[in-house]
Amino acid sequence: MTTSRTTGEDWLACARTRTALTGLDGILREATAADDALLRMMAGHLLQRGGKRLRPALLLLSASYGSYQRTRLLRAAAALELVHIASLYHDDVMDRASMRRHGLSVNACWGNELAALTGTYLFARANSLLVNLGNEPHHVAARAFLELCTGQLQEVENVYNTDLTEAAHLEILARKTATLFELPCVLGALLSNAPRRYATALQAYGQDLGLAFQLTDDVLDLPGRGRESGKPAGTDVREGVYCLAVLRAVRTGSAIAARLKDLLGREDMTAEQVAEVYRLVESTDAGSAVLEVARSHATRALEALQALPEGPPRQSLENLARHVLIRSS
Amino acid sequence: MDADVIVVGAGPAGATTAYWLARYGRRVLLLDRAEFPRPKTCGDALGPSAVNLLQEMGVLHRLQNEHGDMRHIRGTRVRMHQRWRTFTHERGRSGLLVPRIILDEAVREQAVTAGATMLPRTRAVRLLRDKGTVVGVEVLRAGRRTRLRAPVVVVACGAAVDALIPTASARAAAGRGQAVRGHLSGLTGLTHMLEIHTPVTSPSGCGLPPSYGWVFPTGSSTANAGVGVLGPCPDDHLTTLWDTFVRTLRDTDPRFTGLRQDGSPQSAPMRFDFVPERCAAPGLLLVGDAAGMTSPFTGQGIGPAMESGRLAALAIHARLRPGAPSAPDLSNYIRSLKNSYVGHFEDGNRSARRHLLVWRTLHSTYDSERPLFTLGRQALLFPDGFDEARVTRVLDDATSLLADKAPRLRADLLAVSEVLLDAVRADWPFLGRITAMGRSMPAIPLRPALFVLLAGRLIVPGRTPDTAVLATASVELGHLAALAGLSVVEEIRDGDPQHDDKPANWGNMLALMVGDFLLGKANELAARAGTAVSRLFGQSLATATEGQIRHVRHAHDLHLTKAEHLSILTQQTATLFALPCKLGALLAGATTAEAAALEAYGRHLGLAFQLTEEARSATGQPTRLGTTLASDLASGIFGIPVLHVLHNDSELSTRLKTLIVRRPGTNQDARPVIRLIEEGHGDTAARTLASQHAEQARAALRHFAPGPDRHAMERLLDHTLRPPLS
Ligand SMILES: Cc1cc2nc3c(=O)[nH]c(=O)nc-3n(C[C@H](O)[C@H](O)[C@H](O)COP(=O)(O)OP(=O)(O)OC[C@H]3O[C@@H](n4cnc5c(N)ncnc54)[C@H](O)[C@@H]3O)c2cc1C
Repeated sequence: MTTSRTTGEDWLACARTRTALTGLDGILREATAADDALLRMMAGHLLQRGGKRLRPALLLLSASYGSYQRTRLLRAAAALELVHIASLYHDDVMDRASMRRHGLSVNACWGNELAALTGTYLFARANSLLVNLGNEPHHVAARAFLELCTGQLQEVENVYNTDLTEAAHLEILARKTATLFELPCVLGALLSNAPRRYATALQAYGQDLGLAFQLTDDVLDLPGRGRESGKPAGTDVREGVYCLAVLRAVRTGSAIAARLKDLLGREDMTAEQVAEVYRLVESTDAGSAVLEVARSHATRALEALQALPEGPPRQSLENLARHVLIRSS
Repeated sequence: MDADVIVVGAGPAGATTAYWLARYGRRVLLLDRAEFPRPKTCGDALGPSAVNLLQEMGVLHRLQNEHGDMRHIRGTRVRMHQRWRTFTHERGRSGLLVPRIILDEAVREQAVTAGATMLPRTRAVRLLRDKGTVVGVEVLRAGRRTRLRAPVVVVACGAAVDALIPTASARAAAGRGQAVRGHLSGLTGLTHMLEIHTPVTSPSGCGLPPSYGWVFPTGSSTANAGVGVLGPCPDDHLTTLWDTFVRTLRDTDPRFTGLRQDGSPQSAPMRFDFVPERCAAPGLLLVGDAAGMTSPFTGQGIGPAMESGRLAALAIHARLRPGAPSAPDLSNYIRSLKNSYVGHFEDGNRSARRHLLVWRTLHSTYDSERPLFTLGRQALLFPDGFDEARVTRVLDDATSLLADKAPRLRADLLAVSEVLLDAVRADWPFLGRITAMGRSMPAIPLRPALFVLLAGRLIVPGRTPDTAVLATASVELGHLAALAGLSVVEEIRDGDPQHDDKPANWGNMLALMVGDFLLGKANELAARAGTAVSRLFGQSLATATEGQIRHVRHAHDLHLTKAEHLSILTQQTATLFALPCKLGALLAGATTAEAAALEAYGRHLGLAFQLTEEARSATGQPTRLGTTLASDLASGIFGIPVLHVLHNDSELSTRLKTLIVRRPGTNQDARPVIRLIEEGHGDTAARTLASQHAEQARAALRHFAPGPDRHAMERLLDHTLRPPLS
């Protein structure tokens, strides 16, 4: 149930970071090298398909505001990428998704049991990398991972809950998605001993950026908006996972809202009913209102960056936030 | 002052509170709007814990004297989606069925005998307050209003509590349910087992809260039956559910063909909106149903009502000083409720939602034998089978091996448990229950904590450092996470339209989320315990997971060699035993050589354990892991006994192969396999290997001077090879 897609490559305006990132693959390969041939293959399944390495890039950029040792930083970056991929493995089993990154998902290739175990294995390898960075960075990361899992549990315990408040919904998103944006920023600052105010600014940036990303994705993923996500249209609503647009539409107090309340909150929806739900949601302005919320978070992320000195790293971070602004308008 | 304590409501909760307070010598006024004896719409079933409480108060004795032998209950049978599962109470424990008109009167009389003053036909209409503190109640008695004052008021008026203490409207609907009960006769084939049938569905049932039906046999041909709904439910729907339930019983179960209904069914509200913090305020305590203490999964509430009454009496007695100017501090009551009821009922606003999720999972995993769901099923449907008493007894089993070391070890083990519970309680109280039960689960037969503590002692005798307690809790949570992770299954996708219709696989979803959450907690605790602990933890997790992956991929592999199998076991199982030993050594400041010796001890003990289990299952015995040869063969797991015969190049091997490719799945099917293994000495091979590893473990211990701690660890080896008969 994690999303985050489509960022052009050109946002990364910082040449130094781009160069540094080239060392990442080697570390990733080393970290996932297992004696067992099949495990090696499963562990490398998504890594080989590339991906944006968004989190590693965020970490390296955030480390620009202090001084660092490159390999140490790359290890942390690799760890975050591994945790991200581990969470995708588990998500795909839970969502029963068969496609990921333009190819088959791990579970589609090797089954649920092995996919789930490989996810856990990647998490363990990530941890081994993090432990070597020292106690504080590891503890910070450990707390963040726990937040992530707590957010997921909260999400699933609120399935079919049309009464979920906006604040509670945003808290869940902050935990389950924004955490993995915030953590690279925090770790980058920590590992490079960046000045405190920079660290604070970066943390705030990561949190808002993560929310902006997720909220935008959730709206753009609504069926009929022409984006292809991994799962069949409407799965979320059928599974009782209501995004903010749906929750807002339920709360408009109109006849539409009343009809939505009738349709939602149950497990036995037909395809027609699911389609009706989305039609109803689209007929309100809930979608654009949520995009507005997304934009306000992106704007706050940009504001947080004001505290940082200008230069290519900040330029890159700004590009990323602007990118969300553009997508959401 | 009219009394030391006024108790409003003389049901089980109120009468128990009054009884204990009177026993402590307090002046108690017990009032009820009804005249006793009075009926109460109920299923009338008491679990073993409730029976113990009655025994302690002398009520059991009174009941026996006045009403003769009671109807004993041996356990619960649950039918979900046409499949029965049986949960039996342990030997020496049983439940009871007693009509409430008799039970409540007996408890109430016991309170009066102990010295409480009873005021019947007295309705409390309002709590009296003075600057926020409750100082008494206004009551209506024979048409007259009177004010009664006392330093503490205990509200025990059951589900009708709203009249006295209104609930905030936002939460009014959450945590409320409804139940309907009737009496059936003309039945046949009833046993001394309670029955739960679920789900009860009616044509209009979609989108409504989950429901379950019960049949509690009150005699050989009569039963108390009913339907409970776990949420707000209109009356007409309740009636429909009841009719559906009765009709389904009659039409589908031959025991109910001649079914008659005696009288018309009665309905009553149920409350499971328990929040410990809400149960105490200055001058005021809430007990029983007034505190929302009914289990949303079985509808049981009498036991908790009495237990909360006992805890309330204790808390009041500890703090109440007659004539003291301010209200006594009763916050201890909240603490003891939290400790007694972690995960029984969940606290917090989110509980109602969680119940739904857990119900969903319960239903969709009812057929699963995977560890998380076996545990969860027991915890929810048969909580009495796994109470604290049992958890402690299992502790005793292990610690009794250790003779004189026991008391200190026990205290340390309890400290670990506390950290464990605290770690999960805030976020998911229900997991606290699983955690508590996991300790008594066969799947974790030897608590990892034991090894951390013993290994540490071997290096430095004396107190266990706090970091070791954290590290231990982390390892135990890690084990539970692994159990949850093992509960992920493949889905049947062979064009089964039923499957495609299901919106989600709740089992896999919950297994992964709970597994990840527990792992996240374990990892965080390890981080708190320091880098060295984290490093070991991470390494072991990777190794054990790799072993598990190899294990899964070699399922049904007839060419798996014995050596490969052992290497997989070393990674997958032995790591889980080696880790706690090494951790204990490390935290006690062991030298590299000492740590290596202890690690070797753990590893070899782990192998000896696993091989012993394989030998046991190969001879038709159930294992301590809850598996059988049949279940292993069905999932394609071949242990040393099977592999030994498969690879010995004889005619036996060919015969075994032929049997195994047919995937024998039942104990019956497995019998010829067992005979072949015996003939080919497969079990002996496993036992010999087990003894060899045990010897290697013993040799590793020789690194240390003889003494009581080393001796204890040697005894654990014996225990591993020769488990006590169960
Ligand atoms: C249909 C049904 C079936 C059930 N089956 C079972 C079962 O099989 N096993 C089980 O363990 N639990 C069962 N329960 C739950 C169980 O009945 C309750 O948990 C239990 O009765 C709680 O006891 P109590 O003392 O808190 O409340 P109660 O037993 O409800 O007693 C409350 C008392 O307070 C009095 N009262 C109320 N208001 C006032 C007032 N304002 N002033 C003075 N007195 C007042 C009432 O007259 C009553 O005597 C069932 C519940 C229902 C509804």
